[in-house]
Amino acid sequence: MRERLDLTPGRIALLAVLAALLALVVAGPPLWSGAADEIDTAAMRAGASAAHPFGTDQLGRDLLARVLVATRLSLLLALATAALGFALGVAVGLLPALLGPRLRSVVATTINLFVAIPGLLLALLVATIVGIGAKGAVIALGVALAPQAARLTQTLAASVGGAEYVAASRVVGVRWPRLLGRHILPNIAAPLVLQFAMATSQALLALSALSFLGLGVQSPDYDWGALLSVGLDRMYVTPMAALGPGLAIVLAGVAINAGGDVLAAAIATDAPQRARRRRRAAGLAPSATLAAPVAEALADEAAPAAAASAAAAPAAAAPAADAAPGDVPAAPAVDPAPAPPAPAGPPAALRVERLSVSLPAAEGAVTPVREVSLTVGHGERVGIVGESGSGKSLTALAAAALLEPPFAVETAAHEIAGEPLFARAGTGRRRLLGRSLAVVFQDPLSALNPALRLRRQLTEAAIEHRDLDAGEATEAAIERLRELRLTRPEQRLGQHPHELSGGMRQRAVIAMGMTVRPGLIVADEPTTALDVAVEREVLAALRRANDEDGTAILLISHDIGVIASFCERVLVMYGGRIVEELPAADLRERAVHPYTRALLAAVPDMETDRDRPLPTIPGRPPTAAELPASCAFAARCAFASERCRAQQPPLVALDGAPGRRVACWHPAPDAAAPAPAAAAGDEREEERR
Amino acid sequence: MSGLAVRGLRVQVGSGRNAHVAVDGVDLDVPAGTVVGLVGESGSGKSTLARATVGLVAPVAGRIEYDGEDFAGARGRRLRRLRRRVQLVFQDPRASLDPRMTVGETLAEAATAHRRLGRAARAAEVRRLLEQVQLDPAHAASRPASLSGGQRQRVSLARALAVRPDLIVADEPTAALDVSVQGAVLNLLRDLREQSGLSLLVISHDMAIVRYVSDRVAVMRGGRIVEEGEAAALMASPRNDYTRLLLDAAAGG
Ligand SMILES: Nc1ncnc2c1ncn2[C@@H]1O[C@H](COP(=O)(O)OP(=O)(O)OP(=O)(O)O)[C@@H](O)[C@H]1O
Ligand code: SF4
Ligand SMILES: [Mg+2]
Repeated sequence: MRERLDLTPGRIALLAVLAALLALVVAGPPLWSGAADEIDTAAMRAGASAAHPFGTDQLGRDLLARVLVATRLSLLLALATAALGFALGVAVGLLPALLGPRLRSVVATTINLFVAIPGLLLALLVATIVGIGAKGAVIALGVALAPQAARLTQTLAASVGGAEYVAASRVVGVRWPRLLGRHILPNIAAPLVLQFAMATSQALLALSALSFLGLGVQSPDYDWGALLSVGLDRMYVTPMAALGPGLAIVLAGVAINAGGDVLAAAIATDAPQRARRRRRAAGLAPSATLAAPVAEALADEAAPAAAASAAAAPAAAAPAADAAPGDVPAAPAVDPAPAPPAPAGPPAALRVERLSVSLPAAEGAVTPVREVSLTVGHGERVGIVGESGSGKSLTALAAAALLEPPFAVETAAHEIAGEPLFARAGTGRRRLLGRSLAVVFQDPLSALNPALRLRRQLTEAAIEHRDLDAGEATEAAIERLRELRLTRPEQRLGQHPHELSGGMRQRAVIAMGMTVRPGLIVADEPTTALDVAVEREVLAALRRANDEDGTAILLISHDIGVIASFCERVLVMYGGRIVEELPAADLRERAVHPYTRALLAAVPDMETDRDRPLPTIPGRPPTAAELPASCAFAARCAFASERCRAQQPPLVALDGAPGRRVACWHPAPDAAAPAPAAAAGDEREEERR
Repeated sequence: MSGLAVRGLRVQVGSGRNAHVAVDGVDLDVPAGTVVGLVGESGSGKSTLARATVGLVAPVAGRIEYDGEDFAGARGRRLRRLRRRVQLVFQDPRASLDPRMTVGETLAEAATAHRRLGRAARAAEVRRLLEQVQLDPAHAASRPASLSGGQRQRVSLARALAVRPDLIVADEPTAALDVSVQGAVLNLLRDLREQSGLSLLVISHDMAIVRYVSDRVAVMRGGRIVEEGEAAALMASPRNDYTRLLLDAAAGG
């Protein structure tokens, strides 16, 4: 909790100040008003002394006591001002969310109009109507605050009001007062509170300024601003007379802001809303700064903690379960099989040995990718299939050397086109990557610069890496686009990315990658955002690159159908590891890992019996933070034994089946046996927990 | 006719320069007690059609008839009457559940939107709903963030059921779920239909899913229905090229 609220020592101190101020609001006047009002003609305008630390005023009243007493009026007036501003602002700001489109735009325009009027002008205008004095100042400043508050509320409410859960509540028939009170206001409260605190401290400052000028609080009442004006003309004689109230104003302002921060954080963390788009892996241009988008795309899996514990419970019982991630108990007897060696001839397009990816997390480091070894042979089409969060994207990004801190990548070997990546640094490494590897992500728009025409983007790499001149590079780009069956390629080069359809863009990105004639294209869910017709075009484009240029393809997808039909060899990932590797032709009929088999059975296809329930896999996949040091599938596996819950099964070659590997203590002995998916009945028990 | 009948529906989304006719003259029937599957590519207008059937977007033309009464452009009281009968389950249960409300609060809210229920009756109703979607009643106290994707989608379904509608429109009910849990949600949809005679309009881009759950299938492309028919017949002999393409893709071609 402490971390989530960001309670640094400085902040704790400010909170203590705030608490003290609040105590003064309550207790200040009763305790010190006697001293504050006591006229002492013997000590008029006295300097600082032990009896009067801040000195006295023209009537000999103790200034320290007056500062303490003034806390109540100063803070209450500031609060009243902010409250008035926000009451008006929030009420008006919520209107657009409730009104029909026409009235909505009238209100929105009005708010914008008022926001455009300088606050000072508005305050002066109101002040001339309501008159000077404390009441006048509060009303004038409060009204002046209202437009900003209204605009903020309007923006926040519009974003929350557009949220799907609000639409969902409307559909079930929830009426608007409840929509506002239960769904919209609570979800916009945090930023409003923050803003309210800031407005309060601003109001404090403004009110003090007005009182200082004699336009605010009128004698015999006094606030800090009024005291400041008393003290200021003696600044050089008795500094504390002016510094005292001045410090009080500044300190109170800062403390109120800190209080607002903490309160807002408390409200916000009350509902851990990790709004994440599951199926939307971020697309990244190879040159883009990676950390941020990758983190956003991947933060996705941050765990639903409570449900997690249910699924992880059996695994947690295993002795080694809470060992540090990556601290896997030594595999007994069998040595993990390295990725099958590439056949003699040109070097493998990609070879990684024991790739692990970790990143710091709240509870120590998590290791979402563990000991992945894979080879993509020259001109080979390899697929990685697995569920969301299984580590596919991280594996791909790490293989393409695109991960940056906070991700820590470890490999025993990492070769691209036969060249060890880590032997090189800086430019040499970038050149190797630039020449031998292209990356295609789910969202082509993020790989293309929206401001530049395609010509520039499609020729840049070839000019740099293949030493072509602009004319040759343009020729090559047109050639590429034509090969990818893009209509009117010459004209396309003159267009901006937004002028193309999704499928065209994705093909443009592939063309961009192919202009350097790389040995390998890594494509992470390249068709997930596209419809079937376009999906086919994009896969055909990749296929053509493979057939005609001998470009190897590493295709990543959660769609087992796409993988099975496109690839020659398939790697199945679960819980950050490769659990099975097999030729695509064997996938449907001859898989031996329980997870692969259950996955195949759980997805309906065109032959599925419509009269029977679908086989399902109980529970849900583990998140990166829940990965056990034993078999990650054990909690959901129909064949799990004690051993499975205690030890990590190593990825070993499958006897008598060249090119096949499996990580399971009890692989299905007979490939023709029925898939070991749990019966529909069991699944319910599991999910209910 | 009893059930949903959409006639000549035209829905425009966006405004000004970005205006776009997403649903362009659609006729579609969901007779009482049947499951109709609606397939089509992304952007073909499926979701817009779904939102129009519960009045979340107003059509520019056409009729949305339920049991013979036209609800196109309905507002206020009439719209509430429509929504008592037709409910929508959204694609992404993560986005469609208020992160601040517990499962019990979400369900109670829906259950009391059209009926008055006392405290005890409300709790009993939440319990019944959770059981109906095969979730442990103890989940009433959970917040969405602590549920798995499959569990969340069950909660969304339970919320729709809370209104006791005759028809549920499920927009890509499994698209946001992991493949290993989508089967459980599909099984649940089938069970519900068998137990309670609910009609369903199930929207998906996946022909295999639609085939598994539906009696009838409609294929949508570019805002129009390009083919419609009894599920088995349509799959066996598709007449439209696009339908054929979808079938090929589903067959793993
Ligand atoms: N920045 C991050 N913060 C927290 N966890 C992360 C982060 N990046 C990755 N992870 C974890 O790493 C694991 C693997 O993520 P990855 O994106 O590689 O999975 P994926 O198989 O590509 O999933 P999807 O199918 O959703 O794209 C996940 O469990 C995720 O929670
Ligand atoms: S049998 Fe054991 S090792 Fe194999 S997948 Fe199941 S739990 Fe894991
Ligand atoms: Mg991914």
